[in-house]
Amino acid sequence: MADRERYLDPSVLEQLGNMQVRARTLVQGIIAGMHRSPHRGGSVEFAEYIEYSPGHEIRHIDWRVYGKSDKYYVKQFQDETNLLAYLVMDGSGSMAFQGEEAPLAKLRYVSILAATLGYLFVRQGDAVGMFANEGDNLKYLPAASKRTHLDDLFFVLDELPARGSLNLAKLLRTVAERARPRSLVLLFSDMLDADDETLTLLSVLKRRRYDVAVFHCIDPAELSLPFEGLTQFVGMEYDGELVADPDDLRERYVEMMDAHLERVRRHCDANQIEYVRFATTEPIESVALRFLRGRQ
Amino acid sequence: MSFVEPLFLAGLLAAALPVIVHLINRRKAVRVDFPALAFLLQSNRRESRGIKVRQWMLMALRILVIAFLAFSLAKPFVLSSTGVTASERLPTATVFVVDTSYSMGHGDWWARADEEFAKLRKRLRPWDEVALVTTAPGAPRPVDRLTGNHRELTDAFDELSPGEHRTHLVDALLAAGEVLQSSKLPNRRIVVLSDLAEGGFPQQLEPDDPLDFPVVFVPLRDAETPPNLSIERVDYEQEGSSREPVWRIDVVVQNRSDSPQKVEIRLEVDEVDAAGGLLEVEPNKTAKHTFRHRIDGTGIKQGLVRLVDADELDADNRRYFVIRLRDSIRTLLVNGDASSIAFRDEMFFLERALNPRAETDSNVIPTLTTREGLETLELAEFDVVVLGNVAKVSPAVGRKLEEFVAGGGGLMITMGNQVDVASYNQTLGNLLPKPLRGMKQLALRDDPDAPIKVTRFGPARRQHPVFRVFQLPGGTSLQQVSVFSYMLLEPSPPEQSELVLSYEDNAPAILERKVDRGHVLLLTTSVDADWTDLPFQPAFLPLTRRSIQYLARRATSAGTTRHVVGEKTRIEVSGFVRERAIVTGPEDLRLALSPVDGAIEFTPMSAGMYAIWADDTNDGNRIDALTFTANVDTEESRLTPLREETLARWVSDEDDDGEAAGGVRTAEKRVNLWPFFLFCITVFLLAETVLGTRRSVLARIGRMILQRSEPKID
Repeated sequence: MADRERYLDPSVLEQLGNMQVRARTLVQGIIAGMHRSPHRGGSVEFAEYIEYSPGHEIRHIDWRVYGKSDKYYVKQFQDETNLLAYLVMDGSGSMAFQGEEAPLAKLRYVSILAATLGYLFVRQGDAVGMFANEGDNLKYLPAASKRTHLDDLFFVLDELPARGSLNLAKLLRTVAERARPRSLVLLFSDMLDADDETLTLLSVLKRRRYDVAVFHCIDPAELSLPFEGLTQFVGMEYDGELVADPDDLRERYVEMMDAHLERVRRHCDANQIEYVRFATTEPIESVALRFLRGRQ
Repeated sequence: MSFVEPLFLAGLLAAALPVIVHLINRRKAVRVDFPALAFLLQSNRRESRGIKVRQWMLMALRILVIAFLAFSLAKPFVLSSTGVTASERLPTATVFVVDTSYSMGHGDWWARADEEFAKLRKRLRPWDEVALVTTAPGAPRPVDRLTGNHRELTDAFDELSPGEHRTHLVDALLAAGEVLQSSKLPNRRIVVLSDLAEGGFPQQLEPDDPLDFPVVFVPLRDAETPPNLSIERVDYEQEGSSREPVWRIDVVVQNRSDSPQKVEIRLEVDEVDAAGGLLEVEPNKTAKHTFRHRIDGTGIKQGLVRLVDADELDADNRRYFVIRLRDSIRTLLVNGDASSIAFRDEMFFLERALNPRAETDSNVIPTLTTREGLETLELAEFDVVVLGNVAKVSPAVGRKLEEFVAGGGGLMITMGNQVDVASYNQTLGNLLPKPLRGMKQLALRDDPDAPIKVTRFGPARRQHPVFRVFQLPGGTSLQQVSVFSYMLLEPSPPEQSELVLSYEDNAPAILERKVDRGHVLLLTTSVDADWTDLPFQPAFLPLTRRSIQYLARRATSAGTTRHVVGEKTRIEVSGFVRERAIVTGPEDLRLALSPVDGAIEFTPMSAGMYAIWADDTNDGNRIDALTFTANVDTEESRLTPLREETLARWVSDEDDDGEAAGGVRTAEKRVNLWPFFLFCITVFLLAETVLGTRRSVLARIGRMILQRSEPKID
């Protein structure tokens, strides 16, 4: 059982106050009084079946269908399609990095941030799901709006191992396959392996009417390469090692890193993907607020 | 390169330290897990070449710094003739000593001197002071005080050329030292431009006081000794009597090389080529060539012997000499038995026989005097003295006569009844061919048996010059002479005298004795009619004249003073000159000199003939007797390079760093290299600092500088 307090720093929640997360684009479905919906009046009409996966409510399993097909299907109702948010967590090895200045490793930082936002979503009745990689395997948690769902969410976040070399494109492709359309996709990643394919997939998600937001997490040490003296750099995703004097490489490295960050930012801007870049030294609240204020 | 402290070179091993440190550092690299390794690898690929170059440079610089430090501590130095030591950068007073002796005229030595001087001149800094001294006699100083005007130095040097004097290097060095004493500059030195031939430097002479200044000898020549021939001396002598102007001229040529030399030798008389020959000279030996040449005319003849195209040094291939052709024989007749009756007078017949005072071709000029007159007369003015029946001479006159004969004069002694045998043997013992014993009277003049009792002249040494004339047809008249009395002689060592003519009874009639350069003839009978009828015989005139001519002082080079170019010459002119003597010589020399203590002194500076004129140079005022020639000192012909020890004696060792002594021997000086290495270390450290400083720091410093230099706009 994950400790809820560990993620929900009271001061963080205090600062967030009653802020409501609003979808920037139209979201199919209505949560009463809160979100604009193309549909007038609410109903509990059946909408569709989706295959069961852990995290779905047991009670929503259609036993009849099970009887016929021997497969678990979950009924989806129209009024459940208010706001669906998916937290897409990059749990690759590189996320375990924690520079000297940073109070937290990157993964830890984004986990707290994701938990905070997840809690907020659930509190206002929105459903929250999660995609994450566990080593080289993918983990999927379907979206739900129950308070108890938070526990599952926090459990998965807690268990994220930060290892392996995640292919971000593969993760996003899974998101495109599984996430409900028009849902909010929040990608928490250091974007270090954000190649052209990854960026293309981000824009594909956007085109498929997902509301995509990228939380680009950076450790300050990655920006400035503050190491001194002869250093043996070991890759965190099994990508080799290098013995060098950082001073020799710093200028060129910073240049390349800046260029990379700029490329990601430009791509997001061009595709109207919300892009939040933050260093792990920033207060988590200020990052969450920056996101939430942007959506108001 | 050499080292003062070579032990410190062991420090070179420390040059391996940077490599070791590098290897250790590599092992101690801090491990960092880093997410963005891909970017680092990419950066490294792009930067690796520059990084490697930089790292290699850093490594090289660090190794060099340590290696150079070790080198510096070992105090390296080189011996160089061109390098500049630290102290030499200070203002320097330089006295150039230029060798202007005739040996510098060898081949291209002077051209080299010119070249070296130009180089040295170029190396002078504007604040250096210079002076110029030459090795001519008296060490003349063309630039006699230290001056900063280097143009003056160049002009003075351009005026110089090799002379015909020898090297007076010691005088020049002392003069240079004297000039330097006046300088207050921190560096003082003497630069000698000389061929440093052995002949120009005194080998044995120890300096009174070594020079206090470093002396740099600039080499102008190769180490080997070039072949050189020189005419060491020319001797001449008139052969036979003064009537026969045939001269024997002996030329001694020295070969100063290790190979035999064959050379053409020529004789010029009064600038006209007279004779020539070929002479072969063994290595390092002398050879003599003899000319026999008839020189007609009278007065002064300038002779010149020269070697044609013998070697590259011309000055010693010429030698001048002067021949005075005699036109008269001044004869002093000392009359020991004067008489107012002419034919009773002792000298009556002789005087007339020698010079009848009529039209005659006789060149004998007789002067009559008495025994007392002999005491006061200056014999040097005469060529022959005849003592005719002189009773005795004082010891002073005896010595005077000895000097006269030894100096080349001729003495004829004839007997008579006045002669004091004991006195003669005592005062003229050194001149008489044999001591006298006493008169032997064979017959009285009026003795009717005289023709039987008398003796006659016997056989003569026909080959003797005096009797050569009697070999001619009709020359037998000598045997007709009757002798009534003659002087008997004591025996003497056989080598002392030579029998020229004897009587029929084998008693000696004429004897000759050679004393040094002069001759004495003793006639044991009289020259008047007292003891013989010789004066009435036809043989009398040729016999007396030939004897006088034979005895006459021969013109010869022996005993004449040899005048050397560049050496002070003293000439006695008393009796010839009233107020001043004028000296004329080669190269239009004309000097007017007032005699001091009856003599003039001057230094001939060119080889050739010098004439002395009394008071003015009008014809007839030339004093032929004083004409002389000056020749080069053949000592200078020894072109062997000077030994180093000889030079070292002249230089003080009390110089800073002892550089002077070292510099003299090798013409090189010690140039310390460690300041250069220290400078390099500084530069390397600076470069290492710049290369080794983190780029970020450099960039920050650069930015700070840029910000400061940008004008602030409020």
